[in-house]
Amino acid sequence: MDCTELYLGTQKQLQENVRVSLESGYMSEIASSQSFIDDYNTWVEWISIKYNNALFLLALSEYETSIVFCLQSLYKQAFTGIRSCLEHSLFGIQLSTNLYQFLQWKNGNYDACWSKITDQESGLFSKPYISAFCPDMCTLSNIVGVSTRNLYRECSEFVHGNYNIAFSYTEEFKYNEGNLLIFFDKLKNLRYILEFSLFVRFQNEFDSKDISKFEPQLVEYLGHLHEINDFLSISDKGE
Amino acid sequence: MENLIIRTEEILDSKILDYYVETKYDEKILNQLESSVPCLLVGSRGVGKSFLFRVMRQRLTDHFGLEHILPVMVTFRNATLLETDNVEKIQMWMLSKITTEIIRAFKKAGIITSRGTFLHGTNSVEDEGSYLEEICSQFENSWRTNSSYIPENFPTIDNLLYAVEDICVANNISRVIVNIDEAAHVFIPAQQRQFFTMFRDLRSPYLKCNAAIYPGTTCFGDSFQPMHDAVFLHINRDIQDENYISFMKETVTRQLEDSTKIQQLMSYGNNFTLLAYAASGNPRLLFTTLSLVDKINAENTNRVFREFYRERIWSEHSSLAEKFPTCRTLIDWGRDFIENVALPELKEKNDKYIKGDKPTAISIWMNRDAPQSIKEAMRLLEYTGIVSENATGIRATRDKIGTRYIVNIGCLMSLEPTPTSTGMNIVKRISIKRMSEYGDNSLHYSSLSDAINLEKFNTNQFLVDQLEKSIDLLELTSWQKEKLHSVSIDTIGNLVAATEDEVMKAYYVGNVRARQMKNSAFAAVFEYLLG
Repeated sequence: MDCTELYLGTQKQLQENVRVSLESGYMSEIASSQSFIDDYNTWVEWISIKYNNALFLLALSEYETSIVFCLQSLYKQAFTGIRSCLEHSLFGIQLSTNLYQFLQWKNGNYDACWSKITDQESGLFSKPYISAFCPDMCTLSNIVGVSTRNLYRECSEFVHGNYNIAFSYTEEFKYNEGNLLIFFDKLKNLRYILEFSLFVRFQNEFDSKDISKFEPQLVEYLGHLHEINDFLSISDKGE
Repeated sequence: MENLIIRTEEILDSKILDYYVETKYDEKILNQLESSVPCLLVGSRGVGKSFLFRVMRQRLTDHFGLEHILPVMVTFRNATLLETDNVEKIQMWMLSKITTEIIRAFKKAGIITSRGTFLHGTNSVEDEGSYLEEICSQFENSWRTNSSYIPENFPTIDNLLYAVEDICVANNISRVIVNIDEAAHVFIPAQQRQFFTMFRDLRSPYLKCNAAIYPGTTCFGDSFQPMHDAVFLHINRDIQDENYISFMKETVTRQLEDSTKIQQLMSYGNNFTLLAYAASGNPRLLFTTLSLVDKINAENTNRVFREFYRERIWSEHSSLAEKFPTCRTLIDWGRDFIENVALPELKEKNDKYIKGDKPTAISIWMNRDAPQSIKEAMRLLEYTGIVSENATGIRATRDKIGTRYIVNIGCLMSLEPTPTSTGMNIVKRISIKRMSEYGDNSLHYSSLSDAINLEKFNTNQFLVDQLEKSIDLLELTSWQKEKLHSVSIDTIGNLVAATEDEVMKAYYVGNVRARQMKNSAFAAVFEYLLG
């Protein structure tokens, strides 16, 4: 078997994995995951008006490819993609709050540091930060912060090759329902964290037309929070 | 009792079916909502309209693979962005919102996919999905621009219906059901009329709409005919149903994850039952009153009656005047009538009935020939849940026909010195047939003048236009119209402004016919009085 035969054969196997995944009975989870691409893109386009959106574009590509990897039953790569999407998005938000850090990053002198992003005193889920940008959401800072750290840690097990993960990957690349469901569960968490974080950071820069534009996705992902309903209701009264 | 979810929006989709307590009554409503017939779901605040929409959506979503019916939820917000004098822009805004949610629903079902992706670039393939998104984009751009120019090829409702039909046919979807929540509440009456015109037109074999509205404060306009264009589904939970208390109990306990709290609730079973009856079939009232206290012991329960049913519920009704300032007189009269006349009369009667071991009364009856302004005041009371219309065409004393209303039982019980001691005496022996009756010329109506001063409404162009219309457009007989013309009452405005005595100057017109004519005029303008 030469290289051409090897890799074309691999592609055939992956294609078969995609077919099995699509016929697994979880089309609604697949479709929900896929539809978030447009929602995130709405943020990317809005952010590009005032800020650099390179990291958000990168995050979006990671999100999209993680779905593709999952359908191909490349679960390790899929979970790695979730972690990358999360990290790029939150780093992008962090840089949007600090021009100096952004310019340092642009010059190659500053890197993403997860511990800084999630620092409990000064990070994106700390009370001081959320009080500054969106005081109404302060009560949720702890719970979303914990959820974010957990998601990152769980996905990191795949990046670092922890024993329990490495052990399960001695098997062939085949469809695994359990892994598929775990992936969708994590992706759902990711969507919630991203919507929350983007809303907290940027909502005070919304005008009324922006609110109208983002309303459908805010209601879908965060609509169970009374803070969001209050925000949309207050906006409705033109306050 | 903390952490009870009072508003449906705060329930996660994954939990909605866990919280749903199935009853025959609700299942009947859900079946109608899922049918191909447009429905208007009518009920006062908190009875469960949004909740039933969400239950329906979740069930249809779960069974989409079998039934191929796609549910769509739309909630109108940000109506204040709209220019109220441009009817086309109002319609474009509504259509833009509806189309956006239809597209989202198609995406969530995997029927169409995101257009621009990293892997595929911007998808340039023309398909049914791209046509629908193009229509949505044009609706969106139209209401956002300041220009009032509408180009020739601009999409219409028909284009939207065709686009949806194409997608449904291509993907074997039976139909799309659009549930529009808060359908009228956020709009001023002029916008409501525009909405119902659009609601009537948004109908095809592949798409239909349901809308949730409040009783009494909805303006349908002239082109929407309630009898023909939709089925009305009224949510009125019957407190005399044998399963009522178990239903309310189950509705609450499903939210309580902590078994200790459930135990605590059950240990004060009598007080819970009292509060459940006081809520008069309105789950939100029950949740609200339960969340006011930690334990529903006697002291706290009596406090709930004092603070909520004797004070807070009334201040909420009075605050309606801020939303509908032109109806302040009706709102204030309604409060005064129920609070100071109807409820004390019912209490006095019930005190005697209970002593004599007779059935008690919770309803009032009004003659169908009562002034229209009185009927409109009662409808405003329905909006806030102070009363609910129980039945029309009911015979009372001397064979007169009228409408029966049930008063809020919590408000009635709040008149008791200690509701926890005596409240159940009222509830245990209710007879709907026992009513306090108010005839066509009850003395209590006199404080609400039959002649309305229209000068203060002259800035409302919709109302001005309506008032200038001829009385020939009213639903009166030819003879009645002739009589009105004979005394120079030629326009609707003339008739609304005239007193019954002035109308009776026409030959052979007595007080009954005068009342009928004035009621017809008032009914034609009431919704314009709202704004």
